Amino acid sequence: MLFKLAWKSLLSRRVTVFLTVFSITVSSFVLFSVDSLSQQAKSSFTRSVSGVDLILGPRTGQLNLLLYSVFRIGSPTNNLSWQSYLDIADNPKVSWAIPISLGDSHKGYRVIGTSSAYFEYFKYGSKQSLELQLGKVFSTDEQVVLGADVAKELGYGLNTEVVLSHGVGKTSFKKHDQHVFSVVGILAPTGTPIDQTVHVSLEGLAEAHDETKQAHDEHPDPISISAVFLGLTSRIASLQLIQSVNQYPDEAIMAILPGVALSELWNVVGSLETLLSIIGWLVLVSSLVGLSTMLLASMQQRVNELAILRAVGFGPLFISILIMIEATLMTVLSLVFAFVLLSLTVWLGQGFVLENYGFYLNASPLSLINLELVLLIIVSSFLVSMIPAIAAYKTSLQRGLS
Amino acid sequence: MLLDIPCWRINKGEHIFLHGASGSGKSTLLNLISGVLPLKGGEIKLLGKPFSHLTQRKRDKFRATHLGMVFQQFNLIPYLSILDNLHLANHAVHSNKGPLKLDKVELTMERLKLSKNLLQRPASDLSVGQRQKVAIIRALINTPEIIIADEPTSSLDSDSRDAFMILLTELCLENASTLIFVSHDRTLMSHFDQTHDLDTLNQMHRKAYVV
Repeated sequence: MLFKLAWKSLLSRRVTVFLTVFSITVSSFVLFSVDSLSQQAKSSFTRSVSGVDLILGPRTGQLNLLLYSVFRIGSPTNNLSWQSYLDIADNPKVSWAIPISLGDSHKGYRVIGTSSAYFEYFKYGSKQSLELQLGKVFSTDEQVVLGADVAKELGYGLNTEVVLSHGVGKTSFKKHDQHVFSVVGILAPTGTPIDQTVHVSLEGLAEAHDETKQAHDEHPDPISISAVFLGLTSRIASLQLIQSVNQYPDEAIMAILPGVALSELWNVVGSLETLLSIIGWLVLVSSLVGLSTMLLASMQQRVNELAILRAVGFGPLFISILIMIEATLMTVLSLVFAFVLLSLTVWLGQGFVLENYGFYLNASPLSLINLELVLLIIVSSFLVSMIPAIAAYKTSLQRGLS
Repeated sequence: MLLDIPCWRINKGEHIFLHGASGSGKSTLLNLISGVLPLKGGEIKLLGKPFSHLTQRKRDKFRATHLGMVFQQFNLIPYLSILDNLHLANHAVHSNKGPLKLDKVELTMERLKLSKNLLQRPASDLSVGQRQKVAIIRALINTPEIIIADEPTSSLDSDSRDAFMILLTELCLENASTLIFVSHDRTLMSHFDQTHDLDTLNQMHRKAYVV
C-alpha cells in the first residue's frame, strides 16, 4: 500500500518528478559510464598481452611502443633493423622472440608481418595461446591468417584472395596489388585486438612492399621490424636484458616491461577517470539536492493530501517514510534509466571503440552494473531525502486537519 | 488559550449537533478530539479511555480504529482510485492483514446511488456530491464507534444536502456510531437529538469578559 501510494503520488506530479528523475539519470549515467568504461578498458588492455616479458623496439616513448605493438593504436615512428633483432634474440636469456612489422592494412584492418613464433608463443587473457578455428598457420609468403572479426566482418573464408594497402587508413591510394595473398587460416576469437588483425609472414610483407618499387630498385628492402615480443628464461633476467638493450651499440633501441608500461597508461587514463568521476559526483550531489528541494517544495501543494492521511489515522512517521520511499523510487527509476541509456550507448558505440581503440566493450548489463556504486547512490539519496522527511514529520505533528 | 470547556459529555450512540461559527475554536476542538494535536492541559476521554494521555502514536492508531472523519472537502486522495482510498483507510488499521469487505462496500454504494464502476476511477473524476458520499463510506469502513463530521454538507446544494443528512444519520444509526456533527448551519439541527453550542461550552470568552 505504501509503495502504491508513493508511486501514484509521484505519477500525479509527473512533470516535476520527471525532471528530477532526468537529472539523477544523467549524473548516474556519467558515473556508471566512467566506472564501467575504465574497468572494461583496463581489463581489455590487460587481457591483450600476457606472458610477454619484454617488448623490444626502436627508441621511443614506452607508452607509444606498447600502444602500437599490442593495441595497434598509433604507428611506429621508427623501425628496428633485422640485425638488432637477431642479436637480441640470440641472447642466452631470451627463450623466444616474436618479431612484428606494422604499417600496412587491408580494408581498414591492420596487417602485421610476423613469424610463426607468433602463433606458438603469443599469449592473451590468462596465458591462453592463440587457436585456429579454421585452416592452418601460414607457411609461405603468399598466405595470410585472419583474426576472427576480420573474417567475419568481411565475409572471408579459406582461399579468399587478399591484397594489402600501404598505410593504415580505410581508404588507401597505394595498394600492393601485385602481391596477392590467400587466406589459409582463421583464428578463434580472443576478445583482443588480434581479432582485428591480418597476419602475414615478414617475408611476405617485405615482398609485397618490394613489388611496388621493383621498377626503381633492384635490391630488395631489408626486412624491417616495428617491435619484438620477448619471452625470457627467467623473469629476473628482464632487468639485465633491459640494461644490455639500452647499451646496444649499433642502434638506438629500447626494451620495456609491459606491466610497467601498462601502469603508466593507467596513470594517464586514471587522472581523466578521476576528473570525470568528480564531475559525476558533483552532478549527482546537485541532482540529489534537487530531489530533496522538489520534495520539500511539494509539501505546500500536498497539505490536503497529508491532512487526509492524518485523518484516516496515519502518523507522522508514516508520512515521513512515504516521502523517503518516494525519493528512493525516483532514484531507483533514475538508475534503471541510466542503465538502459548506458547499455544502449555501449551497444551503439561498440564498433567504433573496437575499430579505433582496439578494445571490446561488453554491452551486457551485468558487466556495466557496479553494485557498490548503485548502493552508494541509493544510500545517498536516502540520506538526502531525510531532510524533507524530517520536515514533513515536524509539520504533521504541528499542523491540524484543516 | 483558545478553549476552556469545564466539562462536556456525550453518551454512546447519540447524534450531536455542535454549532460553531468560524473562529470559535471549532478546528482546534476537532484536532484535539481526533488526537491529531496534543492536548496541553485537561483531559479528553474517548470510549471511557484517557485518550488525551496516550502517546501520539497510540492516538493515531486509536483514530484509525475508532474514529471516522468526514470533512467539507478534501476527503479523498485525488490521484488514488476510490477503491484505493477505501483500502488506505482499511490499511491504517489492519496493515496488510485485514481484507476490505468489498461486498459490504458495494451494498452501501448501491444505497447511496453510486455506480460500482466508480470504484476503479480516480477520486478526482468524481463530482463533489459523489465524493462526499464516498467520504461517508470511507469513514465507516472500519466500523468506528465515533463519527466526526465537520461541515460535510457545505459544498452541497440544498437538495442533495437533505439526502446526504438522511443517509449519514441512517448509516450511523445502523453502525451504532456516535455522531458529532459540526456546522454553522442551524437549518440542519432538525436531524439531531441534541444541539450544543460551542460558544456556550467554551468558557474562555466569558471569563475574559468577567475579569
